[in-house]
Amino acid sequence: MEAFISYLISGIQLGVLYGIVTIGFNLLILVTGILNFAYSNLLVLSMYAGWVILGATDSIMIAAIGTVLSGVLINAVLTPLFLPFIKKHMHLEALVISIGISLISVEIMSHWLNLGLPIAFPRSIQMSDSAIRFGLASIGIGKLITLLLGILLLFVFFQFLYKTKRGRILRAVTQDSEVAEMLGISIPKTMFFSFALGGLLAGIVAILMAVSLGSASSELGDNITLMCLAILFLAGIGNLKGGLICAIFVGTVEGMVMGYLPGDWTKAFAFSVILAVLLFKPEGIFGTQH
Amino acid sequence: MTLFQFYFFEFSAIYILIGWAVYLMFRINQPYFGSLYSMCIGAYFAAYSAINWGWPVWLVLMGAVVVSMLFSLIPAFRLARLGPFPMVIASMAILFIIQTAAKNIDILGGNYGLFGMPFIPYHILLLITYGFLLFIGYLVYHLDQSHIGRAMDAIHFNRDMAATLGVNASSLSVQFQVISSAIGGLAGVLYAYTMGGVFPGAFSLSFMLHAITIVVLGGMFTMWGVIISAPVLWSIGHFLPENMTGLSVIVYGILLIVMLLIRPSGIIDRRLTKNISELRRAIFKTFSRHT
Repeated sequence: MEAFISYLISGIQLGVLYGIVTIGFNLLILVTGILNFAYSNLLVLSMYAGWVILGATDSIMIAAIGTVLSGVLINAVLTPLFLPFIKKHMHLEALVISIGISLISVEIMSHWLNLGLPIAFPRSIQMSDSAIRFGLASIGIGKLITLLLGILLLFVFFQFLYKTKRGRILRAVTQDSEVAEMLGISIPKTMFFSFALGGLLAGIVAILMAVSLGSASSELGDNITLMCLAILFLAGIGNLKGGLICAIFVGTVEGMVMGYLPGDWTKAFAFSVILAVLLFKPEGIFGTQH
Repeated sequence: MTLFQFYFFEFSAIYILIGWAVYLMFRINQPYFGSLYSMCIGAYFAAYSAINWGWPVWLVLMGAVVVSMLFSLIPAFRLARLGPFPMVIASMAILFIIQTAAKNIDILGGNYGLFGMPFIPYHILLLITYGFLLFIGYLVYHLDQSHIGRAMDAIHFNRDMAATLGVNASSLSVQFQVISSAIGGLAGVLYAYTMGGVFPGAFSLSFMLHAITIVVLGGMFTMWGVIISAPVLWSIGHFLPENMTGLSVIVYGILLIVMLLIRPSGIIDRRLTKNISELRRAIFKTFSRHT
């Protein structure tokens, strides 16, 4: 029972992180119409940037700020590559570009950064020495803090989306970009903003992942992409709230699978879910919103 | 013939076949990469049947093509209804599931794969490969020029309008998925005989990037582009110094992005083929007038 509770909390924490990344994917789909396949790999690249800054400055605060900034910068810098295709509604070409960016970033991480070896963050930022124990099982303080911060981030994001002027602009563009443009909203600026906002979310998730996982490798981005795509199609493309619910469900299931079964089939299981949903319910459980 | 020359000619032909298989589906605006997982199935079938059952080449070829076609039929009717985005993801999912299965099934050799296929002399293998290349090229060319080619164009530019004009897009998609997979299965057998076996790592996401780059770089709207892009891309990967082998994926990625940005229709597009055929006609006319 103790182990079950431990796996359950780990799974929910994983689900919250998947939920934030899925929101990043959905945000770009809703505003720009593109599926940015490279999003998770760029998130992991931010983790690498944070690791380099931490090594150079030895300051956790500077490294955290650097991670978030690199998340925003990487996504913002790559925006011009997508804009010509977004304007011409060439979504497939934009997807192919993002696959290209994704593979380039993976190659950079697997060959050039840290000699291609996985990176490890200091134990102090993981707070792995202090844990809450119940019976034989335990859960690290770092994971609990990540869970709480993740929930807080989601709350802030939805407040931003539904209660602020900029959030209303984003929602207006997702609903009808032509009418939004007639009302004076700058579509290119909003698209650029959505990339930067996606980058900001990626940067923050990069910190949370560094705290909860304590390490990163070039394969991590692909693993996150697979799980988030499974969630995206399971919930229905563009469905923010549905995506969040499915993310927590999938994260919890993955936490259990990792706890009780050998992990080699986890990714194949995720892809089987994607395939089954695509073939039998292409609009997802909660319905497509784009 | 040196080993390098053999590999150059052999892999160029295999990648042209794969390029054509992907191209056929691009023509109906369905970026289906089933030919890639069919290549994986074909290669494994070839290795297993040749090593364990001792099948001769012709039987292996027939068996692999039939198995690839049958396998592609399972999801074909459902896949035919999907749009471009879900099609890419579904193809990737199937490729990944097959790769994971190959890694974890003991009789397929796990991560090490299956090796030890009977050796076929280089010149005979090249003869077989180029025989099939000419045959498939002939079929694709005539398909392009027929009423089916025009139906493919109609689907590509406006699926609803094509349906109004009586084109059954779903049925055409199923047929092309099967043809594309048969070509993939054939390429898989040729690949297995060239390498002497097969291993699951050969069919990763970077392999998919390679196939996409071949088609995008060569041109998505004509069959001729891949004849240039496939050998060029294979050469890039093999002219890099040994300590920079990881760079080949980066080079493919950059080429892909640059090409999409500056010339989305690829090296050889419809306008270029039209200009070339007009030029050829003018030269022929001038020549026949003088003689």
